[in-house]
Amino acid sequence: MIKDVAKAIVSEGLKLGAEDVAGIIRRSIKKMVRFTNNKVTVIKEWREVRADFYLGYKRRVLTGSLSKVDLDTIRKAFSDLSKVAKYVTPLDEYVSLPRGPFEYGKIGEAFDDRVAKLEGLTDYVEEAINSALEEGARRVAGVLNVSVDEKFLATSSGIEAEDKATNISITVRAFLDKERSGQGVSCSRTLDKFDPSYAGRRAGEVASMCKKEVSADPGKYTVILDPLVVANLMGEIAYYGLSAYFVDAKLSFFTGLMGKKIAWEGVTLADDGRLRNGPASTLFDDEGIPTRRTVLIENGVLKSFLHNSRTASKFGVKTTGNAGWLIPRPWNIVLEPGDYKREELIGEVRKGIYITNNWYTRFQNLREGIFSSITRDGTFLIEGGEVKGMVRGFRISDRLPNLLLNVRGISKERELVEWWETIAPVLAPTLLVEGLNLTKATK
Amino acid sequence: MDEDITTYAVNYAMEKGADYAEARIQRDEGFSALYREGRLEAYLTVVREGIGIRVLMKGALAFASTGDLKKERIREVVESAIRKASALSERLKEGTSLAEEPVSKAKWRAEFKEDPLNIPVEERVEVFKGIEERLRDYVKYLPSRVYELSASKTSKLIVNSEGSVIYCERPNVYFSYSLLAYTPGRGSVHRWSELGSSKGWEAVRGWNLPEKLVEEAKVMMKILEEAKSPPLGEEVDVILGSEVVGLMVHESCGHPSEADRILGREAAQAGESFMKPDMKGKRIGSKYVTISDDPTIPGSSGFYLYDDEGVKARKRILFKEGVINEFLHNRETAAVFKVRSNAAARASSFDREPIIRMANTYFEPGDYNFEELIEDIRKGVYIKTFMEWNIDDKRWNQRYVGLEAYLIERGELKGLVRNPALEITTGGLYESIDGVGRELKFYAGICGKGDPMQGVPVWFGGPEVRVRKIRLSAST
Repeated sequence: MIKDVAKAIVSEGLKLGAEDVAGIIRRSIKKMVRFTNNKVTVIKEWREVRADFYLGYKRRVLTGSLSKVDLDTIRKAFSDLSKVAKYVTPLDEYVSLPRGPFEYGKIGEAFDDRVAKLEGLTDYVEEAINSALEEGARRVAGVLNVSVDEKFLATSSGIEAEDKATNISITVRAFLDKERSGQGVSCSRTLDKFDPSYAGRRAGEVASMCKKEVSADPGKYTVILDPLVVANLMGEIAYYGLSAYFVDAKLSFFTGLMGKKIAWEGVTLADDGRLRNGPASTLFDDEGIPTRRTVLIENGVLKSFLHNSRTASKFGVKTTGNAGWLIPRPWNIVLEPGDYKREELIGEVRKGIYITNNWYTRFQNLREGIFSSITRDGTFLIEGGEVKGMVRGFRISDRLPNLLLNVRGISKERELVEWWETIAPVLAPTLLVEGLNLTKATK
Repeated sequence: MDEDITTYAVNYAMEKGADYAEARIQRDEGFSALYREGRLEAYLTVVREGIGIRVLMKGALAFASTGDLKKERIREVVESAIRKASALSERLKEGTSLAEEPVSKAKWRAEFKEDPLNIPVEERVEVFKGIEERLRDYVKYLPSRVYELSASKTSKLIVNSEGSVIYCERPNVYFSYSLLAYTPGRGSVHRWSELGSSKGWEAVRGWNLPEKLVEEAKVMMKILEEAKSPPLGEEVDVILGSEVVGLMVHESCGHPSEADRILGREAAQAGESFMKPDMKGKRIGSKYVTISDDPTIPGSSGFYLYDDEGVKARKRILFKEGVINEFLHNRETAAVFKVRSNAAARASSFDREPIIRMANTYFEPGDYNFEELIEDIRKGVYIKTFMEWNIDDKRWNQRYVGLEAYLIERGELKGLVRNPALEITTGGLYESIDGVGRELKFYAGICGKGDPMQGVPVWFGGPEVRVRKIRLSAST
């Protein structure tokens, strides 16, 4: 049925006079179990069909999103848009949708029938809660998500493509009390690689590290950033810094820096739409271009932005398969590993701060990458290469370009991180960053 | 909207063994237009409609939704919710219950003059053209200009198994702008802000966007040309402008007053609260601090008269003369606290569970005019607007970095200062307030909370307030 709707979108769009039409129908079943204070508080389930469409009309861009996917609703939406079209500006950089068909191949570990048919979700929740309690946590909260997604794309340029995905993930937050907590996550496309015990254990372990409290002043520190922090900040970097839309809008902090050194030489950052077991891995983008791995920063040098066909045309490059019809976006962000173990990175720090989680990253000036982000869960003072105790109230207040330039060490272990506070999934190592500015409340 | 379908869903859930059932059909229809540097770059039309069903069964709560309003699909969805609640109820030692509330039968709508979806397209586009025309002399200093205009209409029909039936309609109009000013040798200044209302198109006209944005541009140019470093390393008095006060009360009073946070229900996402259930009646600030949240303000972004659990809306006084006075409740948290719900339950769309949300949160005005607020300040800073902000997940440790900010010396406003950062605890902030202006102003925003994320329109506001003896820090 979803194929018929996508094809109907294309034929209706062409009847309207559009020269480029694309329709994506997404059908999903999503399940969620939320838990608080060691017990489940609510179970949710959504069954959704959504039609998203793109009309290229005399070099103009019109789009829409409908949760009702019958022909009458589609026709009405198109009729409304036809009245709008003449007021939309024809774009000089407009390019037709890419001509297909394409070969899409396969992505490893993208769909697991066991996840699609999974029952007894609360068993996994209990496993995670118990793991955190065993590590010394007193109360545990979190969320378990399971989704089965299908999508079908049809375009007026000869593309008909389909993909399906399963995902299962859990976020666990463990508390000793209001002030002392830790977080762990596990996300996977398959049941085999889903590890709720790990998420609970890690959350409980960080919370338990908070037993001893010490004090530390604000200032510039060598910091150790755990994968949760790296995932949050790399998401901001990949979206606001590396999506060609923000570069074109002159809002990216990497505007004008292509080919320049923008990070420490050990930093290689890629987007991978085909990452094995990657939560966002998909065969094709919204224009039907096969997804791929794109190196964005290689050994510290800016190599590519994220593109759709239109931004690629404007920048004089080839699309990277990251459409978004309007804004190119990352799929799975991959930061290449280094040579150290996390403990070795901590061991390198004479005096510094170890940050295990953060949230609420906001910009003072997006163009210059001036931002702050507040620590959350266990944050610790390191002295003489050892964790001395928990510290409170620190905030990272710096520039994202500084952070990339001041990386000095990268762990070899990485974690796949996706949770409430990430823009996109990130395969993230632990980082050692020198001279990061940390601030605290003054009253 | 089909009351039969909604009632059918509720009755079927009760037949299947639910102790309580609630069904909400919600339709959101609207458009969004993106304009960048002289071009209407993209136009988006959106229709979202479906039914969300919540069941409570032996203390287990389940929510399910579908965009397909056919009876057979609704039966499937209800059965799925019942199965989940039933399985969960066997494991629960202590379940969920809902506070008792009167049965409500009501229809309400937000009053508007001009239906924003019936405004000719040409007129919608004129909004952008008018701004660009007025900004013509400044464009060379504003290399990045991005505007978004959106309008929608929401209608909801809520039916529950206790007999409540609520139907409502409201429009929502919204405008956001991002301006980047740049001068060679002086760097850049970035401003992003939003406006919103539950009135119709007349609200958009009333915003007078061309004048508003030209004023913004002028200030940004002056910041680049004139702003100096703020006083650092010494205690100064700070006047917070209405825009900053609005955000501050939203972040550090409204959010921590949400009872679901206080009980830990948002712990793994939006976080908890520095407040504990027994802190009602405890002092949190000076006697000048009274902060309210009121969904019933006509034209406000957070406007409603009954919440999404069918409870009649009323004003809530969260902090009263410096004392914690009332938390924000839905029926679930009200039952735990053994109080009545104060109608804070809202869902952003048909496929979202109703959860506790602010509506329009504001610092109650006082007696001072601006001159009186600053007249005895020997040295201080007036932070009129902000850009960067954040707060920890207990809502205790917050930061606001000023954009338009002025030095105050011997009771007079002096020149602009650049990026003064106020980084302060909630207690430190509210206990240091000793003067409150008389002019109440509101600002609009989209507040995010819940999992999956629910963005809902809110207002926040206040008058200018005076905060004594603060150490400011410099932004990076």
